[in-house]
Amino acid sequence: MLGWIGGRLLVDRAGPLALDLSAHGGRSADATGSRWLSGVGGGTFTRRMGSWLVDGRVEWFGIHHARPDTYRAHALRFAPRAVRAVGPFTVSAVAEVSRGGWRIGGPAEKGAQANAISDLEGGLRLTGGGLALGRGVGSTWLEGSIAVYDAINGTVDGTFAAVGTSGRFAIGPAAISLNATYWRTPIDGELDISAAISTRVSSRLVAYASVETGRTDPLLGTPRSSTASLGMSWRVARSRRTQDLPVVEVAERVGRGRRVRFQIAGGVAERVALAGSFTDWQPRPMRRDRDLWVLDLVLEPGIHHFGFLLDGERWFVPGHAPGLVDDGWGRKNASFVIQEGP
Amino acid sequence: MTRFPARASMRMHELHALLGVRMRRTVIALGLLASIGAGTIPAMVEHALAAQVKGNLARARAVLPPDAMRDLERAVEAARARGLPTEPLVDKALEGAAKGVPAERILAVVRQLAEDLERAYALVVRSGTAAPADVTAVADAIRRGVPEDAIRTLHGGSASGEPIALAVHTLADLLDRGVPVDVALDVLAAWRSFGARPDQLRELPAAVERLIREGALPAQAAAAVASAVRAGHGPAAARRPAAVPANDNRRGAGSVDQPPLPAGAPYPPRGKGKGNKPGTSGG
Repeated sequence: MLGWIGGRLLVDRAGPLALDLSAHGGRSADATGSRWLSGVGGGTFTRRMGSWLVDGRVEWFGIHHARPDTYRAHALRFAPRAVRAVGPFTVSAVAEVSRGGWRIGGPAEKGAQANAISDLEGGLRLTGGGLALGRGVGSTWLEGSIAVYDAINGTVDGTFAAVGTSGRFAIGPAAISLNATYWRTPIDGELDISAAISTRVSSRLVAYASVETGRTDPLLGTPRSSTASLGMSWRVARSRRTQDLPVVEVAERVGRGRRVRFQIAGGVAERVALAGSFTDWQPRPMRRDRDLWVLDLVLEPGIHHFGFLLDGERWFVPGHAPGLVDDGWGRKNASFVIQEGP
Repeated sequence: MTRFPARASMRMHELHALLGVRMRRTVIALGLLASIGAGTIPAMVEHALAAQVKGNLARARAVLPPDAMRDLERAVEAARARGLPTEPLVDKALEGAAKGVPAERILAVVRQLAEDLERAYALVVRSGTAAPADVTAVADAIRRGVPEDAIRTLHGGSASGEPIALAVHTLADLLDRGVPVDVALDVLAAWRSFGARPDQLRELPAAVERLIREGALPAQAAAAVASAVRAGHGPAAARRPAAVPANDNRRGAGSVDQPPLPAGAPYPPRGKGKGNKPGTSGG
């Protein structure tokens, strides 16, 4: 029986800039007993730009594979994505640029029989991107995609093109995804079909299983192979701060209005003031509270617009502030509503 | 004129002096403004309202040139005659003055706002009246790009006493996050089907944002939030659908979460690398 037994340790930090670090490794269950270990360190940024959600990932990975010769590969990858809604559809444009190299060395273990290939090295280059069109139909998410990559990996160099479709849906607590992608590689055409099911066993534990017919990997050039895998993912710990501090916190009722806290991170400003429709656009100084600038006000029901004035000079509205709206003169205001009644 | 100092330096006390008397704003006043259009308010309240409007305009008069002030008064009077809220117009003029915007550009934006308020009024009017707060919120939503059809749908399905202003604002917040309009309306339908609590509305965009940052597409995040609300767990309980860790769609073309070679397979023929030919080095 051929197979791998392995695991992955993932450490990440969520937020507008999410960082993660993971190590993944395993050992072949066949007679060769070969081993592999990979490490990935990267960051993902998320930003709203008008009606686009832009995110992207930058990561570096390294792989060490001993079987019994050593194979090493590494690359720096940049994969930005822009997403926006177009009517009922979600359009995603993705790109990927990866640059790195690979090397095959001598036997990994003393006394082991050398593979016929040794001391070779080359570059890894992948450039490409694609478009995806998705839409939710009930609780099912359907997506179609196309992608083209130009690859240099020392094994299967040339243009890879893909046309695919996928669906994700839930049955009870289980999430199921099905994917079929036709890949046109420089050598051949390959149909990659995969199915995966995952379910939360508890708030920290996810169990999953997947099967895939496989395809030639355009980045590493590794050959097509069918896989079936079972796994468990256990979240050991989680940071409480998974999103930005809210700029506006609407608190308890005071008379007809509400107590409202405005707060932004300190940054390098020496003075921060709040100005809005509720101050008649007069700057109201905020007080420093550790690494925050804070101001508490009681506001009447209605829609309120506001922004911050840094050091008496610069109009500033954080990107994650609520209700961003053009002020009509090329800047943004934030806005929120205090509802009348309980 | 002293300006809000994004373009010219400004001191806070100068702006205080510039803007002069503070105005006391209340939603009662807004409600009264709408009632003027309906012609139903008592004379005593009308006097109070007139004083309020005069107070607003007096502040604007202190910061706008006479010609511009006349135009602003005409715009306010026209809006008042049509039953539209006038406070947003005066407020916009004050905002523009505080930000150092030239008078003609202030008036252009005020006129555009008056048109938006009129469109908003037409969308939310029922039995000849519309709450000023709702009209103002809908005008804001129109400026934020919310389709009028979506506002009509949301308003058409609302029950009496429902917080329309907050619901429309929430709809705009969801669309801002890239949620398709039909999915955003479904999130609000879920909220409505589970009690339509105003406080829960504020949690919806935050919950969607959290899931987006965890890697979900906006539409998927919103659908997950709608499911959580319908299940009675609340928006904060929404989770990104569990996914196979190696199947993260943000990882691009290649995956390093799998062994680089299948177990037992021979090395691929890496004939294009640099270095010793196969078999020529013992390593």
